[in-house]
Amino acid sequence: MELVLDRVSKQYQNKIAADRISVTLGQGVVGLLGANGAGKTTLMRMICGILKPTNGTISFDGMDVSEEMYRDVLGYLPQDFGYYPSFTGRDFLMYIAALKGLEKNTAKRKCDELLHTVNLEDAANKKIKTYSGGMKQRLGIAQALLNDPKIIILDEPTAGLDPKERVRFRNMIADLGKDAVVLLSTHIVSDVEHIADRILMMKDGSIIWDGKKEDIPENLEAFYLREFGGLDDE
Amino acid sequence: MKNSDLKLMIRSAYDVKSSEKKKAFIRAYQKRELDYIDILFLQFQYLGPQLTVVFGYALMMLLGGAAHINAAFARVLAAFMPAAALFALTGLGKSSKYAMEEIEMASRFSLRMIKILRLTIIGIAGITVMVAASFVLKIVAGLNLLSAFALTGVSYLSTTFLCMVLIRKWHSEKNIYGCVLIALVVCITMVSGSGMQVLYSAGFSGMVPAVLLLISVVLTVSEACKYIKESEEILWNLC
Repeated sequence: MELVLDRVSKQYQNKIAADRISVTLGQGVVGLLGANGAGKTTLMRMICGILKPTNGTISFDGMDVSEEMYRDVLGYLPQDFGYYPSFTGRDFLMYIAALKGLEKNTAKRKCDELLHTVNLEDAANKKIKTYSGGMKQRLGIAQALLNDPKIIILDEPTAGLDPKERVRFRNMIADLGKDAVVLLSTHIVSDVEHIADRILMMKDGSIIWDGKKEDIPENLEAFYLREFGGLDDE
Repeated sequence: MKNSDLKLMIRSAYDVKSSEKKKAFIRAYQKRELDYIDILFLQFQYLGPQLTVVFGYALMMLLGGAAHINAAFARVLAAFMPAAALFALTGLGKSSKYAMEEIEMASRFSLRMIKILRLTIIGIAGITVMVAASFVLKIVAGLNLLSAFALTGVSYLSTTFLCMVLIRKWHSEKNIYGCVLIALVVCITMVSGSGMQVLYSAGFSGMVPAVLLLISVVLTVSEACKYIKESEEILWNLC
């Protein structure tokens, strides 16, 4: 199980959002850290096949990300997502399940299972517009897992979650990493610190650090802040 | 022991009874996945309100035609083709309006496919309206079918084309107001002397309606292709 990015670049007219990124991701949780505008979301969108790289290739076990089969094994939680106003939580999951090609009975079973996992069973038949931010985020995570994905791309999954929920999700994401490639982008260093097997740091469209947490000679947060200019060197 | 008895013994010893609920098990085991037809029906369901309006309009045309409404009313109905086009078009912008694009694009039946299916459904609805309106005009106003079809088609398709250009160029929820304005302008043009009556006049025959209709069809189809192709890039362009 290998996701290979080979010299991937993305240029938006006069801005380079990703600059010749080459990295191979295997099974486990990979944390992607970076300040706003570092290129994390662009990189994730390219991995999901919804944004074409200007240059370079991205493939999963030899399968290009533009192929339909690739999307069969993909689970994606975007940073911002919406819903059709008439949807209840269950409707939303059933709709996404259909778009993922799941047959109705399988979809129903999977929806119930995930609603239980994300603790939304009681609110499943309520309109999403009545949900809190955290509930919407949990629903977003559930939709990403509907097709038992092998590649899970989570863009700020813990945003809007309260501390208790955050801990639950950290554990859940760590579990997912046991048999999938999980790429997790966040600003919250402690999330990555606890669950990521590997850490990537992005700055100005490039990966400036790629390694294990143990390879960092100091506290991850201090290292991160220093790399991104938030802390003085002394 | 007789040979036949021996055969019977062997058969009964090796006879494997058929498994209980075998068929049900096989049915459950064979994982059926959704295909494009299923997704087409799914999208039909989500475009419901828009389609109800468009089909309701077509039905009104047919009933009006059957009841031999007068020519003036038929012309007014045809002039409201832009309104039908506008209702149908609002279904196309649903993903963008409700920020569902990114999730839909990352699904197996991607946003591109969803757009194609929605265009197919809306196209069918549009053709139904145009055909219904054309027959009404033919019956009531005594136009030949091509002229009648051009009259309704040009009105419907020009609205569709202009609105799709606007939606493609102007990425904002507010583009609906621009579409309403376009529909209104086309509608007024058709009702007023400059549009409808020019087309409706005695000089409107032969190649003119065919050419006008053809131009409208080509422009609309080319815009639909651009709309499908534009499933990415512009949405996330930083500039």
